[in-house]
Amino acid sequence: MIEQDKSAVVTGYGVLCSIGESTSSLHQAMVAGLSGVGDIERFSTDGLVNRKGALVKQVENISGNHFEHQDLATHFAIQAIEEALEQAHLTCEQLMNVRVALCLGNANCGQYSFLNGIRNHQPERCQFFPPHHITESVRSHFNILGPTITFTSACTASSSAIAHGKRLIESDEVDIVIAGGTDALAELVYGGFHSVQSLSNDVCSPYDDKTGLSLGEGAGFIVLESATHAHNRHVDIKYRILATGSSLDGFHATAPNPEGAGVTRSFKQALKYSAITAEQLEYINSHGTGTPANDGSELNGITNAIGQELAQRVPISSSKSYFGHTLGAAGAIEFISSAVAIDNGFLPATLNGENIRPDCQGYNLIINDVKQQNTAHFAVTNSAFGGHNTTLIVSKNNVQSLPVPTHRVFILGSAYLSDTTVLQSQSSEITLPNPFVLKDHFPTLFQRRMTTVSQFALGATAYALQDCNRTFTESEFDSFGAYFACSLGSADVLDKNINTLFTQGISELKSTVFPNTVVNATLGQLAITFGFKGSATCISDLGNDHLQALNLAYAHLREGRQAYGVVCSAEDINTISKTAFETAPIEPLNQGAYSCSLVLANETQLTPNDNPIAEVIKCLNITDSQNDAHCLTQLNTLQKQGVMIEDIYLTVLNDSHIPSLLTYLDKAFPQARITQNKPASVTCAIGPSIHQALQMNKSQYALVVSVNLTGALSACILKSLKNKEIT
Amino acid sequence: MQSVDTIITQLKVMLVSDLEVLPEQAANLSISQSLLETPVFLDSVDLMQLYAQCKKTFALSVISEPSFPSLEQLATAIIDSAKHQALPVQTGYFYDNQNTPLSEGSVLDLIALAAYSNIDIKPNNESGHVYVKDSSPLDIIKTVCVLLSLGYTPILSAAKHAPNNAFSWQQLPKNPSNINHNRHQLLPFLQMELIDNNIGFETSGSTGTPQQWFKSIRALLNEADTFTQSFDFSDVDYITACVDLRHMYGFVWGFALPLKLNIPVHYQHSNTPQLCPVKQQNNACIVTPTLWDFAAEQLCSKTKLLVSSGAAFGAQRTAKLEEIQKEKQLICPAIEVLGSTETGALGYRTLKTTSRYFTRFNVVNFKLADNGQYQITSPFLASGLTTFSLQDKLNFIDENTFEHLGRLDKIFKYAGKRVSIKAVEDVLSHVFSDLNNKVYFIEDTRNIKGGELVAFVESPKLSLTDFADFQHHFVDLPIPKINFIKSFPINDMGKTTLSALKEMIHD
Repeated sequence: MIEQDKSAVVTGYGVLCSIGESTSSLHQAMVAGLSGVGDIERFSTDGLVNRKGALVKQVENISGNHFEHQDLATHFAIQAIEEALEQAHLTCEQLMNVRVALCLGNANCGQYSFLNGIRNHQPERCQFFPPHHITESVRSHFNILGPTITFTSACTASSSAIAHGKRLIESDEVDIVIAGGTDALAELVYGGFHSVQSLSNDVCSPYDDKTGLSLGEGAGFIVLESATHAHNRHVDIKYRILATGSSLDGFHATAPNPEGAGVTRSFKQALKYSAITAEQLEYINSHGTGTPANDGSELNGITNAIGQELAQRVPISSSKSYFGHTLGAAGAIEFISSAVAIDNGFLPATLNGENIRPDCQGYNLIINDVKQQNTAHFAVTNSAFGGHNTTLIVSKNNVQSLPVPTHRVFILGSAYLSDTTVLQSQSSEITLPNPFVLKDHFPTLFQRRMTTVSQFALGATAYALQDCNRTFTESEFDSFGAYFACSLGSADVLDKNINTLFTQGISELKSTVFPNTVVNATLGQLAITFGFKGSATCISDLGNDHLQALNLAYAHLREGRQAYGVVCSAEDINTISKTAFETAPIEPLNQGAYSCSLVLANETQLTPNDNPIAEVIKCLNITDSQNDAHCLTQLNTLQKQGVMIEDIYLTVLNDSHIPSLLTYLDKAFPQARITQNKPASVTCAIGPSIHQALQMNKSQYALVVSVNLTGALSACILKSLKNKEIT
Repeated sequence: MQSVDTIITQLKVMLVSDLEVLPEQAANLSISQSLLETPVFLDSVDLMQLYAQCKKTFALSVISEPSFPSLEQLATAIIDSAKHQALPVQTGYFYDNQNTPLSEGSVLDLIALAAYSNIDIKPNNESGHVYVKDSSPLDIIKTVCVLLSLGYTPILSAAKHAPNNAFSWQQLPKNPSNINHNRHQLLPFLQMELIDNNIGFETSGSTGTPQQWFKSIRALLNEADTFTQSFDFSDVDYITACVDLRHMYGFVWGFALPLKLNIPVHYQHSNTPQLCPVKQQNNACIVTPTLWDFAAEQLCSKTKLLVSSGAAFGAQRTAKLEEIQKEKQLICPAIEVLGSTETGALGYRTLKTTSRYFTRFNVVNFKLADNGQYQITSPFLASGLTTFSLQDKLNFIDENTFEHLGRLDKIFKYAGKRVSIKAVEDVLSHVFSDLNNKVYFIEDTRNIKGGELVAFVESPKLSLTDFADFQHHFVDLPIPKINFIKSFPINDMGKTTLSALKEMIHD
């Protein structure tokens, strides 16, 4: 019997950016040393000192110009994915016959549509704002029926998407993953970066003493499948994703740790799971934004990960001078730029270099001209606002991925927080006399300018940590990963920012507001406040947010990436968020703010004094809860594995899905009691269901199910350990 | 400007309204206490917003940020900044892509300084050749003019690394005071004092070995003069030069021509070339085919003449040009200039899909020799040449109109036999059907066969093992050393050179 090679391989990639609408035009532009940075004409830059960006040319020609139906970022993604599928010799019809997942990274959400919707009094366009709506539009276009996940960790979103895609393939959850990122540059984002004085008025020159970044936009996607699957389809394997790494800085909202400690941890984690050593690396594509804060510290971080001699020998460059910083698409587009270059026997250059800054000297930087080199193994690093770092290690050669360990994962504490209530699994319900304000309950955690979303997230996490009935040390917090979920980001801050834009203009956007506008700002706040330094991610969905984040945390802890994790979701409901969800078929949302938080640990760190509340047995995603075949197959598989579900806790955000869903659940688990909770919000709607599941004394297994606004189903199976020893 | 106390009061209001500092904290803040410390603990983002708000409130374009940011220090900095508000306005003749100007006067001042400073320059050889170190256009102009004025022959090379003894105007000593001179314009200075001086242009050449061609100032200005008479620049306010000055084509159109026309030039040979950097004025754009691919969509009604050279424009690009002109309803004459570094310009043609014929520049003469090659006589020839044998195949329709049919087949002597490059290329085209190939004979007197015959085949997938048995196709022909390359490298002039191909096959 031929051994199956489950290693995740790349069989196709596609790109759309300011220097090209395909990989071949990207190739030509890189060879010619051209950059897509130019004058911005899509929106007004009146009053701004810097007015340049790397925008996709001729957007009107992309995807038939149906911007009233889909956001610009969706169109970018569709075009890039079409190229990737063509390279991988896959048609849409073929996709329907295999298990396919879509992992999409995004940072700016659907701001293009949202702002135009508000301006032109077209509220229906505001529905495109939630980032998961972009993913859902792409999914629908290609009729993808498998898991659909949106990563919103800003500049590490698409590299996180690729990392998760690798995991889905190697765990045999799906046959094909389309992974990458897409972003359209929006005036709020451009104005925001301008307000923090980060922009260059020329092509950015990473490592050079001409500092400043160039903002860009575009999309980059890859097709992942297992090596065996690729062989069976007789398609070429272009690259193998050998390993991935992720970490948090826990340092500052916008600036990275000056020593690059977060980059070091991410890189070292990737090397730990990699079948090749650091010495075998032949190229590093760095995040290299061109800002004084990033470049030197990133090089420091790489040095501390792989050693000084190697860091100064291996060629390093940043591709951002070709197509700008494409934010949510950055990791994917930069990976693809490396792949395109290596396919053609060269390495990308960092353009516009004249005088290397002192803190970037001594490295083998590729400046101005591409370097001719045959390359087999390379790494890609990225870093984001909020202090999230990722690393990908990639090879052209036939190197199998290392087997990944599996550990059991437990819940130590939980909390669900609303304006009026705190629910913890091991304490009675707390009724709050006044709407929750972090300063009143946890004054040492509060910081000036903290958003409502952050306050609630920190509050819920503090309550969840209390619920663990143990004290964590500082070094234990270093081993915490953080997994944050939020459908929209801070609606409060978005509201403030939009108001400034429309009443005073782009030049008046405030630097103190901008860092909090990114969806993953709260992730960074969690890391800074509690000192979390492990792996991380930020997820956005339309109701399955918390369970998606739990799925990621569960996967990371099972693999042993760290011993502990916090899974936290939060949201604030105000006029802006209601406008974004206006066309959704749900009950009017309760105004206010909400947060859920879980504290997890894997078995490597549990002590006899720990009393976990539950064990996480499995997490699953089904895109279409209406689809008979997929739904029943997944649920029946669980039965066959001997999992006897006794209680089902259900939260559904779209009433039309309820009858059919109840039918499937009843067929799959006829013995189970089904409790349905009406959603009070979107992101944290599942909170009460989780709380109920964790209260059960008697049940062995509980199934917690959420169905989001689009009908996709996320679920997790928990095994209650209340008053029981671990067996 | 207001007093320090008044400004401090306003700063405290800003702390509360913009940075969400508690009112009681702001009210009790000591004016000499650092804002980075207790009780307000401002961070870098807070300070950024505070400074931005100060600029707006006090109508300042710049604030000198104090190293110790206390209320008192910040108020003082605001007052000082207000006193130094005005910014000087700059004008010039040559502009880089950052719109930095360089005036003729500045160049002439530099020339005077060079003469005065008696700087020691070490030429490359006894002929006084000195490589120009600079790569940015304004610096190239300064260095070339300085070297010419000192009697050296500047060598311009687009190679990646300049030799160690290359010279830059920046090596001149800084002089605190201007040196007096009586020159006012650059063109008369070149015409009267440097007309017979040479500039060297180094090309990689078809053999892969760098070749140098020397052009006199006279020849370069003659060429520019011919262009002013052959094309209509009456409506052109400035030149957009998107071609590197280190190529002869870029130097004539981007330096000599603007001087002749007495109009400014904007250099856009950068990573982000703009065809119309000065939006309100009309221009003539000088491009290469590769650059055209990148910037085509930028073509607008402000461009009154588009010029392409450096490599063949091709039918596909011509069709795209026509499409853009039609879409945007543009009337923009576009021409392709045929020529080379050694010959200068030979002729031009209008870029239209219906037009493939070139018009001879009237000062360039073609004479067909017995060996089938055309002999060129022209005032644009490289120095030391009275005629030049053209390696291209031409077909003259009439005295002034010709068709360019590509390169002449090169015949070389290999192991004593005369061999046609084309014959070898034809075999490769047959064996590796539908794949591009290029064949070179690299002469080497140390090789008893006379040199090395190498071929490059463009294929992402093939290797020689796929074609173990192809040798029998080379009946009566030497078998070249075949290298498979995923895609042929193209330089910034749109050409594939032997040296670039050789680099790709070396690890």
